[in-house]
Amino acid sequence: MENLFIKAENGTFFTPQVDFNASGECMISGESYLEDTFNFYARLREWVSEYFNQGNENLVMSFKMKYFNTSSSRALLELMNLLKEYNKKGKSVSIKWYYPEPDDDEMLMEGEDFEADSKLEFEYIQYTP
Amino acid sequence: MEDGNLSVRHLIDYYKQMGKHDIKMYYKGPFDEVILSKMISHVRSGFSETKAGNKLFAIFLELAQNISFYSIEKNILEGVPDIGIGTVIIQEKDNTYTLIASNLVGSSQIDPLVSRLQEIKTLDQNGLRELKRKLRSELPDDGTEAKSGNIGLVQAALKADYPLGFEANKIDDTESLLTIYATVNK
Repeated sequence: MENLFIKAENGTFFTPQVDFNASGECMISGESYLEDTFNFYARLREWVSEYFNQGNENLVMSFKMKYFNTSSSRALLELMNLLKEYNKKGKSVSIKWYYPEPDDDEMLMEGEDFEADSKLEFEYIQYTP
Repeated sequence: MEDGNLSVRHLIDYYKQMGKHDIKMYYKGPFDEVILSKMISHVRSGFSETKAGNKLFAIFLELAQNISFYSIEKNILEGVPDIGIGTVIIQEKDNTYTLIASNLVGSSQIDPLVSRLQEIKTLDQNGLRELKRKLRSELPDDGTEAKSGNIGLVQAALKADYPLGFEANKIDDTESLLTIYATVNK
């Protein structure tokens, strides 16, 4: 299983940093406003599927987002829904949702909404930027 | 110049009008990627990493994308199709910033948009969160853009510190001018 690393970029669009490790420790961080949201996040979903289909049992997905537009919000939810599907099949999935203090962008609220929709259990972690 | 043509006088009057209203940013034109990128930089650098700045940035991006996708007035210069044309203004007052976004909307679209904006205006924070979640779950997951639902408007309303304002002014039988106002505290 290969690691998946995508470097954050801020230009015409904003690409989040993706750090998916074959050990099962995964993180998406930064800002997400993309030209092709669908294909970007499809690649992440494919990695997750391959990870579990290879027989791995445990995955920790951390989100440390600073900004995401509504298209990215949908894509993030799709990723969480996929994780929920594997969780239902018996895989261990942990979600860590990071939010800053002060939380001017209401990231805690965003996490709570994702938790309600995905039905995954979130661990909320405050950090100082 | 002949009557009916844009004269320097018109432009001077226009400039003076804008000056009366403490305009921090004004743009009218196509909302393509490059233009959006430049405006994003301006919004971010102009307002620094303040809470108001972050809110303005988030609201700007949602409303600007709305213009880009949904404006009935399209950019036909340079042969680039399907980029919506509209207007964005950021106005400063003593304790607030107001972002104003305006674009032409087709006659078949205006009533559903106005209904949605009226609905949004009545909702509190929790109501807006529920509506956002509902619309997000209805967005297609196949990469195509939803042409209804207007989740971006809900997100703008969530970020604003006051209920979204709006006006819909009929231009003729085919189009109306939709103007949306979002205000944040400094």
